[in-house]
Amino acid sequence: MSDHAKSSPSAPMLARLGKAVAVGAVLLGLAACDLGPKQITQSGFRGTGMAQIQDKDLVAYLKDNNAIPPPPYEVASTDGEKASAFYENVQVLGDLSTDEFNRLMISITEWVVPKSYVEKEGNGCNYCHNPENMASDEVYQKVVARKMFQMTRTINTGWTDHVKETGVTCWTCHRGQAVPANVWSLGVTQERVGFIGSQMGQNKPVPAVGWTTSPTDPFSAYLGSTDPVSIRVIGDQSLRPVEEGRSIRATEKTLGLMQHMSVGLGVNCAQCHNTRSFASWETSSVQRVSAWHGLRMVPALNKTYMDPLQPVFAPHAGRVGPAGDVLKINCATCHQGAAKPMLGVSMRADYPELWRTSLATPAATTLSLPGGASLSVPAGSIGEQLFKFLQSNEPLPRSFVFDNLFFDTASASLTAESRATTRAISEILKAFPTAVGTIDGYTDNQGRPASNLTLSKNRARIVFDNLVSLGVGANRLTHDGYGDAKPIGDNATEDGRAKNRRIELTVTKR
Amino acid sequence: MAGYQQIFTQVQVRGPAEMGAPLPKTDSGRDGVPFFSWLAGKIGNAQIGPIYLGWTGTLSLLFGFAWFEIIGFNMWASVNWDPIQFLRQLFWLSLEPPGPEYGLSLFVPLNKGGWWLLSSLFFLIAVVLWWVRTYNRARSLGMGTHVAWAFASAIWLALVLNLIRPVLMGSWSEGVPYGVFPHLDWTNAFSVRYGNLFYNPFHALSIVFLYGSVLLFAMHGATILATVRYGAEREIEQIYDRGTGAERGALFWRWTMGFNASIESIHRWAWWFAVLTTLTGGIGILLTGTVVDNWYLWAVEHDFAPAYPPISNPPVVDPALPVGAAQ
Repeated sequence: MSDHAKSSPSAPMLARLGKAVAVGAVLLGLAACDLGPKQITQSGFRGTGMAQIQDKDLVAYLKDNNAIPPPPYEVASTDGEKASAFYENVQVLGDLSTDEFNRLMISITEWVVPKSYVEKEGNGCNYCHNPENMASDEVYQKVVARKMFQMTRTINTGWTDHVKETGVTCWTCHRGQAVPANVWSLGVTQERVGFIGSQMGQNKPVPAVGWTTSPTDPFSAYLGSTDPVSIRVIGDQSLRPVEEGRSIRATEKTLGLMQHMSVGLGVNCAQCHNTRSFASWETSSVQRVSAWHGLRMVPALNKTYMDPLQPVFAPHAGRVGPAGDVLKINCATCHQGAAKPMLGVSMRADYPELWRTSLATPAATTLSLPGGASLSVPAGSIGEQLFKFLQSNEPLPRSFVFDNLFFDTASASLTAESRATTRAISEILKAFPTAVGTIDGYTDNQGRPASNLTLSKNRARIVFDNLVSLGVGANRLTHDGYGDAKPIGDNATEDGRAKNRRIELTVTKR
Repeated sequence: MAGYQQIFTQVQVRGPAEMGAPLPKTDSGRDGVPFFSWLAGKIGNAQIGPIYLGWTGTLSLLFGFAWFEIIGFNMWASVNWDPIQFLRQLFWLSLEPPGPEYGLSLFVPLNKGGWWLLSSLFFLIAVVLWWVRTYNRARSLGMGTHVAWAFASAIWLALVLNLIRPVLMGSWSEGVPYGVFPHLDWTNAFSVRYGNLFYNPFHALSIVFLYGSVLLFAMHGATILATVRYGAEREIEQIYDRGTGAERGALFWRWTMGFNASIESIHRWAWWFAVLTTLTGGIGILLTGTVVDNWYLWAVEHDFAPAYPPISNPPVVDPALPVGAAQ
């Protein structure tokens, strides 16, 4: 025995060592270890594992495959004759100048049915148009394209919480393909009927859930067109009671969606979450707020723009899924493996027309304020209610719930659209200079009472500060928060909780 | 001199088979003619047999086999009895517990978790019978019952996972699926659902004892191997009559660590560390969901987890909390 201990490494020993290394490599491969060089970016406090780990080859690949196509030429005139006047049957892009319109048509042909595609399937312009009558809607692709232009504008003007200033164009998803590469549809159930062998919709190696054993359809519940299911499964409080519906199986479902987001964006959990607590918002990254808005945007888009196209797509092969439903959007549709689609480069400077809104504004009512000024506010809004109350002799005090009030979660300030509400209230209060009141913040009963109290106080102060900055005397208003006290809705339901999360203006003196 | 050791063996003992200590008259005898296996001798005792199963051992193996087969046939059926797909997808396949909609019902359709319930019952019977066997065999041989109680600690963890905790939670769906990747993903989902098991102090204790067991095992194994040339592998003898091997081992640890276990107490250390691994682990699992719903929040409230600064400034706020709803 001691002889062996002293002997130097022999050839058979080296061969054995080689074999051991080979076996080790195979085991690493089985464990899905990715051996390439990595780029590691620390994103949080040291020692907490907050880091993005990216494969350098993948980073290079994304860089090579996310170039923005240049516009074919500069638009000569943006204020010439409108397309709606020059052409027939322009329903969505009628506000474009003819020059803008023509160039956008050339660009969309490049984005969706480029030369390479035309060679295979045919027909640049004629992919959507009847060359004999360009205005006709007889080619189904034209009907689809119109809906998609509406969707693009809605995303760029209405979903800026998710797409920020970058926005999207047809290119973001299509990348030179008539059908975007990453779409989803309902699967045909492959579950075994009978008495044995059910996997209960999970335990299949599929890429949609990153090859985990999570339920293989992470999309229909969360991104489908019907009311999306809440993905929140983690306990809100340290101790029981456990909230209904937060089972292990529901957790596996949520994890499946998270795997899709991770693969679709080429990021790990720490992109959005804190490694210490996936649930805690205050220790999360701002990207989680973007993702939150994205998870509301995608089902809304599927419901408003994709589902209605089902009858249009249905007769055409490859345009609906195996269950006959329309091909739908998920995170990968735009992101295509990048944390920011097209690596965060915006096409807005080249195509500002896609960032204009063609949506009708809600019905407005005009208030004739004392002092002669008039103010236009949405019909039935807090502005109209407050105005009517201040004009009347109805008993005091009276509380009004702010509507259309949103907070920019990253900067803890009001969003742009909320400022329209506070501006209207400030104008009304200035027109009634003797009125005095309080700004009160409330939350629902989810989360810890202490943080709810802080949150409600902060939000009331934000609204107060905003009104004061708009010229309302600081001595006329007080502000405070009360957490989940005085619920006006049932905290057991999502609708009720939404009602309870509110800021109130209580008028105490007219 | 040739050393008599296994794994790195150079010599295998052959001779008249060791027939074992005499058993009480109430015990049936052992069956079979013993033989020697060269391969078995590479890693342990070369002698195979005679065997004794008794009724506990026989029934335990039968029930254990039934449990294994129920899982295997469910997996195979799920790929439509395709042997190739069975092998390709084996690590993904599983026998899943009933869904939450069945609660604690004992009458779950077979293909909706009924097989899981049935196989879990068989597993329970098999394991308990094997425990009885370890206890009885030790008694029959006039041994202490240390092995049986250590095994009981492991059974405790298994029972907490798939029997006690699901019953307290009111749902079989809290149980662990029987599959390779599925049970690992279940572990992940379990930790995520209950707010990060890292902050469960009993989980922490269990890890301490697990890693401690490994460390003690390596230290003790290395010490004995290093002093075998002085006869220290005859550990029991050296407990009563301390020889130079044990003395050298003890002295070594006093010099390197400042303290040494005795050659008897080192085995108590190892036994307790191993037993406490699953004992504390089981407590940690048992408290999860039944008492504590979010271990991270629990740890923060009890100053068990340190506070770190938020990673963004100002801190992120839950967008579901604002007045009204987005869009």
